[in-house]
Amino acid sequence: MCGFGFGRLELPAFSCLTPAAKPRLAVILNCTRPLLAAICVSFCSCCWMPLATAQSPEAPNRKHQDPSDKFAQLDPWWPTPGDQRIASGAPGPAYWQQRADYEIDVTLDDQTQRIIGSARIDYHNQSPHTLSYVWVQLDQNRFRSDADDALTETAPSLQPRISFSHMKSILARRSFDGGYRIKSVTDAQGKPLPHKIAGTMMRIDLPEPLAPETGTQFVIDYSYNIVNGKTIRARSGYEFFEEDKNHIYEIAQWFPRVASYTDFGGWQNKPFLGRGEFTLELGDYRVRITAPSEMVVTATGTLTNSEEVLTPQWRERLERAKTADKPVFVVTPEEAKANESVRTETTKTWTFDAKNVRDFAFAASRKFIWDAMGTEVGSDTVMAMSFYPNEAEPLWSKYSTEAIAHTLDVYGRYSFEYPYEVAISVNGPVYGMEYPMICFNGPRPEDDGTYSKATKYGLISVVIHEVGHNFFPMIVNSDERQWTWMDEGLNTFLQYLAEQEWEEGYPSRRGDPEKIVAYMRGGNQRPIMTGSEEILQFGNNAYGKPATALNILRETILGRELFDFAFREYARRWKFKRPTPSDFFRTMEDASAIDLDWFWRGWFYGTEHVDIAIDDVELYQIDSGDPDEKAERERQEKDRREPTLSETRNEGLKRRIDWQPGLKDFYNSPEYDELKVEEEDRKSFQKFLDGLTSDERALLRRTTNFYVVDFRNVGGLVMPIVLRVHYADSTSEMMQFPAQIWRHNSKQVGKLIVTDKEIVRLELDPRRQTADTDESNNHWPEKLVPSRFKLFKDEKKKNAMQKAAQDEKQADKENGAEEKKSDDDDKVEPVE
Amino acid sequence: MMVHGFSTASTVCTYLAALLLMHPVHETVCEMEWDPQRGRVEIALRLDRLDEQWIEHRYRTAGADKETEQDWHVPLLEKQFLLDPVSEGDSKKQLSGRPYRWIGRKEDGAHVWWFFETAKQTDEAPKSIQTRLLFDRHSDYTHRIQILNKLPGGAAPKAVVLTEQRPKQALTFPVAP
Repeated sequence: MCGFGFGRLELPAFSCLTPAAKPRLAVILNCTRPLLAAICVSFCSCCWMPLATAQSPEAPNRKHQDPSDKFAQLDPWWPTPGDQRIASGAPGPAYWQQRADYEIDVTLDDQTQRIIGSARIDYHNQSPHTLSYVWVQLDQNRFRSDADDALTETAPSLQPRISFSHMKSILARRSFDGGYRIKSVTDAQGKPLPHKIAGTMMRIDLPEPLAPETGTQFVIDYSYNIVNGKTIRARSGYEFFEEDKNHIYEIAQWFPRVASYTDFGGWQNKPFLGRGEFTLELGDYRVRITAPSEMVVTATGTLTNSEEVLTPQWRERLERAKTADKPVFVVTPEEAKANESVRTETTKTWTFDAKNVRDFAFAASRKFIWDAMGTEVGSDTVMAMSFYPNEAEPLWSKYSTEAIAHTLDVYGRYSFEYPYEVAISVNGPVYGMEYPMICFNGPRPEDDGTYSKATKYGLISVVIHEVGHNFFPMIVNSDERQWTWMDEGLNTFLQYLAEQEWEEGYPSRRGDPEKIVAYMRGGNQRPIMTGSEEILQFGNNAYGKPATALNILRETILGRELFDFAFREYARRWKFKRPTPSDFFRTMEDASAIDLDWFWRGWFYGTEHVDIAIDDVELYQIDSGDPDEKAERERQEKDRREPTLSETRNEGLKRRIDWQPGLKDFYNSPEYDELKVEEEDRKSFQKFLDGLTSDERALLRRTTNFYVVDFRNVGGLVMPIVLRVHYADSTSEMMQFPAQIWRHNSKQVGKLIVTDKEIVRLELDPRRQTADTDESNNHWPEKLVPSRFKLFKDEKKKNAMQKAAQDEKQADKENGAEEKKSDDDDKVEPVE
Repeated sequence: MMVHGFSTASTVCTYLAALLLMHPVHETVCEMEWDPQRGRVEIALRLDRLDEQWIEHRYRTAGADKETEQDWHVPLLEKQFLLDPVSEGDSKKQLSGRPYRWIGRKEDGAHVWWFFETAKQTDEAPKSIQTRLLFDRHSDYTHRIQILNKLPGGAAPKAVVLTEQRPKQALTFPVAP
């Protein structure tokens, strides 16, 4: 907050008008408005940097003190609408997407931790283009020693020391024999197809160009070593339990997957570097998984041969679970424990079918407990199921499946009904990773079965998050490899809503505006609209900031009703389709009828932060021009004026004119009054009044206060101004001025507040809803905001009785204030 | 390579250490203020509670209890969160910084704040910081240091960001006019 101007509340705010001057309100208010141009100039240097050329609306404008237009429309940055994607943000009449169906036979080798598979792929060219080759993703090649992921990793700091676990990970990465062994690539008749592997991608050259609306088939036989998920960063892998010599396998990105081919990007053949996840074509899968007989296998899709792989008792329990209102053990903890030591040397093949999914993952172990509960989604029953070892108990049986059901319920209300038959959560080596219908989640209790609050909520949150990914991006099929925020940001936002519906005061990590403040004001950032592999501070950039932005959009800018409708519209428009960022931005505007380009520009395309300050407050009152009123006011002001020090000390001083009476004249006599109103002045005023209409005369009699509050945009990001106004009668009211208040000058604005009451205090963003990074400049009069450290230390100094007494006092104070202001808070609408 | 703290690490902790990677929290936030009257730096450090739990498992000495938080917080911070770090001993492998005094901790939803300050009164604010806090949990941790002392004109200094690649940075505390 700047240190000037706060003493001017008592300024006589109007020019001294003579009755002849015919006062007009506008004239009066304009004539004393101070200019702050000098201040503006000092802020030009920190203006938003333009992204486009000198011809664009973003080019610096040297003829305005604010050289950038933060409300310039984003159309030049977005793709031109067409028949595939229309201007409203919806899929157009010519929208198309490819399709890939898979039939896979895979063997899980528990002796060597190896996958051996054969994938038959039916690729359907539904585009209007002829294709001469098909790109396939080989994500396991990320673990080759010559992978780009490894070669482009920058050095960690090895001094002064490095932990054993980190060193083990570095060495394991070097020695692991990872990556696909492609045995053959053939057509449906077994004829070899030319192919070229390039890092994590493989191009298959087609014998004949693939015309629109035709398909092709090819078969890939392959194998690879499964990565140890405990020592090497991975999205899947195995975990080995030394005590019972068992593994938990979480298997994903495990077969050659056809890359996406789109109207907006052609082939998505960006290499897999580990961070940018993936996008694939939707399709139907039939997968036969062969594993040791004693293992329990779970996967994307519906188990179609349960009578071959499940015991009659398990099938009966599973059937019972469909209508249960609590999770039912299909495989009990005791059965799982007993199963750990079984080695039959035989195998079973589990067959799963999955319709309209963009990927397929599975998990297997002898250690799995299995619980299930049917949850109603519309007119269907979805089986929420969890698989976990005894090491995860008692935490998992209590919370995992319930969290799945909760997620389907909440997300369904904000987007669309979950369309699959199962939703599965698996405990194993991966802390949190999502695939269609199945996800991997890591939190476990302590060895003694106890667990901390952090672990409990860590589990619930990660299950909500990973199950939530079914909606974004497994069904709303955005491209994670390019735009992480489109799934992580939207999903984290809904995760926050789901968490808050779990229990009051749920400790959400992300979503509340105040949680993102530290990141927003810090350095080392890139905009949200940054490619997945180039993001800095991944969690804050792709999860926290977009989730917070959407929360602010919902709570402060659009309101819940408008936002929820628009967000749901986006989800439904792009269900089982491929949205891009502009489709999201356009849909949110199209369905809410609110121009949000300024919001996307600031929050998604920029790195500025929110910091709005109250700079100055000035009071103006109506001068009626009545000479008697003016004289009386001046007299009162004179009487109120405190004597100067010299005047005080000179009291009783014998003056010359007191002992030399001849020096006195008319001007020293009681008859002389320098504030006396002359009759001529009264007549002149009366003449002025006679010329006014009755409305104008009424206006002159008003005692309304006109406050001009100057706001300064310190952080650069334009946002609504949320203001609590406290009055002298101990009432208060909330005001909100939309962000468009900054449209002519994004650096500083003045706002007129008209009230019959006296304002005694102003408070910006008191409910911490805009992610304002600096509270110290949010108050008028200026308020010293102690550091968090000092507050804590002061609090610690008090003993329990002192704290109780203080709490009681504070509660009384708040209750009193609440009673006075509650009505105002409820009824006052935004001023603009 | 030096070894530390493995004696108390449970299975759960090492498990989490290797695996917390896909949906990262991976950050701490630190508010730091130089109090020239007291000659001390006052520090509030925000951690995710899962991170605190991991640290506690890994570094808290056996036998310490909640009443003796100082027993493990201060040694940890003095080894891993160093103000004005200097090399110790002949090997130059051990760093030490300004000694700390533990003030306390306060839970804040999914996070927890640690409050501590430099223990000795000095005339000069620290000029650098080096950390390796949580890098042994995951290499992607980001530590953001926000200096609360204001620049002339009232603006806040730009935050300092520490990463495993850049664990040491200069600190500049604005001097009050």
